[in-house]
Amino acid sequence: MIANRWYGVHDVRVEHVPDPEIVNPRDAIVRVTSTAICGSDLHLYDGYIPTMHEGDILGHEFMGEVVEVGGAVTNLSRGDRVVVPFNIACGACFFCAREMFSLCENSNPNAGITEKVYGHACAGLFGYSHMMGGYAGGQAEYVRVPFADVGCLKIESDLEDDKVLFLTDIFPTGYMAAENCGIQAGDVIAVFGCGPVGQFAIRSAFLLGAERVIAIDDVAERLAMAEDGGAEALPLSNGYNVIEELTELTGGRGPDAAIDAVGMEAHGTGLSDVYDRAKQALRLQTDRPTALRYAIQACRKGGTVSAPGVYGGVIDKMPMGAAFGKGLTFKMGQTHVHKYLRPLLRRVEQGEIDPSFVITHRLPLQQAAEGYRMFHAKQDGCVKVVLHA
Amino acid sequence: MTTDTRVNLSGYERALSVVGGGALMRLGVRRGFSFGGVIAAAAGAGLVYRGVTGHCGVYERLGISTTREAAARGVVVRRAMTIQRSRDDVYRKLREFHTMPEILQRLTAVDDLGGGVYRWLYREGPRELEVVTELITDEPGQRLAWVSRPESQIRCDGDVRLVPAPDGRGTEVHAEIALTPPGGRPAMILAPLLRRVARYQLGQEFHRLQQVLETGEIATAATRPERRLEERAPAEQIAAGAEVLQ
Repeated sequence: MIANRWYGVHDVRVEHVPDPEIVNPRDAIVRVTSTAICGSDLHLYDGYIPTMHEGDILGHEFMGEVVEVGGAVTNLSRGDRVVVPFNIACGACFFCAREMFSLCENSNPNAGITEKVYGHACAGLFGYSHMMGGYAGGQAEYVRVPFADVGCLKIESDLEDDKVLFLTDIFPTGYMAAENCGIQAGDVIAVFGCGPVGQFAIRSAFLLGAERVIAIDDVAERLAMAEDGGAEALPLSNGYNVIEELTELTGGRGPDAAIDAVGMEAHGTGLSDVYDRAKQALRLQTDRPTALRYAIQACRKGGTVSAPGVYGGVIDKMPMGAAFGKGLTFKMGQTHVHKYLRPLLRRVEQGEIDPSFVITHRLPLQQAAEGYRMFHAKQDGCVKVVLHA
Repeated sequence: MTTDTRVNLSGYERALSVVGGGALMRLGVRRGFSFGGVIAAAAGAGLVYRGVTGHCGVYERLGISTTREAAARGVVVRRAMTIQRSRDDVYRKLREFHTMPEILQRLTAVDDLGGGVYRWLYREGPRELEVVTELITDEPGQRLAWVSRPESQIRCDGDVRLVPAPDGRGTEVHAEIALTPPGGRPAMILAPLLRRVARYQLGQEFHRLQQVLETGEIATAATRPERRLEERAPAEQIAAGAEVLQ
């Protein structure tokens, strides 16, 4: 089969590799029909996630058709059309039993390494470094899906791939980010970053009853997409005080919750951005937390900062005093995708949302490298690339 | 003497420290009040003090002791894990010694020699390592403890206790393993490194035990069955990569 493999910073190549086979009894092999490039794949592309090895197969947003199942999988059969969550969960451990699937105890074969760094390990992820399990990803023609009996969601309606593909990651991720805001009637939500996750966070905030959503970004077409979703656009540009502006737009209160849909590679402005980039380059900090700092500063007293944006290591100049002084609540983490699959599929089936709005580019899997280049450079209005295998 | 508990040097090392330190002091004094002379004399005095008191501050910081008592204790590694199964289930799995090769990395075979005595064969690269253990405590659902027999190539004594976790949250498994590396007391200088490696390995083994008990299989990123074993190998390499984040 062909697969998109990581070789280093800004170096991915589509190559021939051996087909995967069933290894464990709860596995399935899925023939991929659609797969996408995620914003978090760009952290790998930029080389900021350690424990990547040359030749690792990328991709964690994929769906397709079951071609083979292991002996212990009784709820799937050959020919089933399925979407597959980006995180791998056993369904049986303490965390899975409490619907915290991204904290699964049993799906990361390299748990010991993550424990060294984080104290405890999180679930294994498809195509996202060896620290996260070293699993081969879904930007490929075939994928081995462990714990397929728990992970795979059968799509029994005739909804096309474009409408259900994003149940694998960005839709639940944006939705959980909004849910983490604990939205009440009248709430104003600020969303920092209008990439795909930010776009779904905006729409989810409205689905959950937000009064207003204010979207912040520096890319015009992304702000336009946010406005299509009902948000008010707040462009981020040099010399522009986003905190002041947010305070004004909310009658001096500040947004009731602020979502950091950017994560570790934020683009800031001015001197603090130069400082962050220098420290990151020298590995004195691994993550650039500009959006998180904004979110903390802007959020109203007693409000919530919700962070779906990915952080990997350590950050610097975290305004803990502001967070403490304003009594903020922090909610974050990898999405518990499994928990949201069915409820969000229902919303799609009922026509409450059509997730395909975010797709701007479609390419064959063979052109994955081109897709990464374009998405990374935000060229040609690129917001979301879907690859067809 | 109250300082006894602070002693972390073997008799040989203390003697060496006093003799070496004395020589260095002599050398320093002969050089008179030159920079090198003062440094040598001070370092020598430090070594003599270290030898006389039997206490080395650097060793203490690193968790090293080369005393006879420390060597007899060996390198002690503790690790605890909570598993979502009853104590009886966990005990039953642990007691199935013949199935341990799937959980313990590098263990290739377990022979039952009768009378609670077992031979464990490990393969470490081209080398085979043999440990013969004798079960000294076997309380179903509660505790397993063993000591190594003298013919073992390394000493590995263990004590595993099973305790119910609060509010029906499964079973806490508490393991304490004492290892004595080959090479005797001088090898105790490597104790911190050995403790680190052993704790990591014990953790990985616990994870596999948990996986088997909670899910019925052992997680692997292998994409083909034949690659299952070889893909376990680069753990140390991955660990080195992860240090970047610390």
